Amino acid sequence: MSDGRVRLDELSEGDECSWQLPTVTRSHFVRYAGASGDFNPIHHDDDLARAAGFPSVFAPGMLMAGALATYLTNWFGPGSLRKYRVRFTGQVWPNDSLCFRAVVRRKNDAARTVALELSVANHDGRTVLRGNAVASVGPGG
Amino acid sequence: MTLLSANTDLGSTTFPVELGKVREFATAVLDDADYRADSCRPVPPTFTMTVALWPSESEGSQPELGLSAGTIFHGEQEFEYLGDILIGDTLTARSRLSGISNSQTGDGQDMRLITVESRFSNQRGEEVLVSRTVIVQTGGAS
Repeated sequence: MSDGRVRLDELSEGDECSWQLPTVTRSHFVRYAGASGDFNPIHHDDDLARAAGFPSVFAPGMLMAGALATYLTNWFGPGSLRKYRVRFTGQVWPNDSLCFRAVVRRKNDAARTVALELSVANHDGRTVLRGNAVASVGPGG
Repeated sequence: MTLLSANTDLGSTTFPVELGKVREFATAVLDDADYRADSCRPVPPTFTMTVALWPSESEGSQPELGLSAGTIFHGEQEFEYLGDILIGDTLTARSRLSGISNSQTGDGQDMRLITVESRFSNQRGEEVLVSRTVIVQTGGAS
């Protein structure tokens, strides 16, 4: 039964998947703040962000982490993540264009899991997020 | 004010996993799955960040993390998934300060790293998630 998720026999070490996101906007920041409860004003108050020395508000890191988790869930299936770890390495500004990238670093056929290296880069090449994950992979092979 | 050290108990929070909040959060993280009340689809993987919306319960006074001064950033986040979290569950998150250290930023500014570990259990007492958050504080009280 095919449900759209990747199968173990379709993956090899070194395989890469990347996703180009729609342009991020202040509306994304605000929607995430309301949904998550992260009301750190650095993410929605431009006056305060500038007073703190930034050119403008920037994205909550967990917005990008949450969206990357969405793409991984779409790739491997709901409930497939076993571990997910991210480190925020750069700000994401309004109107940034982002690319999510996941590389299969290790494949464990016995456990039916893959270890992934993750990164998010913006349109000027800056890496804004680095991370890794372990995902269970569905039947196949 | 409670003196902070590794293993300081930060209390617990119990909250329901609600359909409306799951749908709202999913939209915010670009997840277009059609979550319903009877979904057997687990919630989005970072959904437990919404614990921030619920009050913490603790027997004694709540330790003050001293995060009101300076600028705070979310530095790192980690999740270990031990079981599915579904709409209709009730989760209890028990948190502790699992690490605190001082460092410096690349341009020589004092920086404090605070790690909070939260362990989430469901209404059946099953542990479903471990979350670790590293908060970075610059320019605040040491």
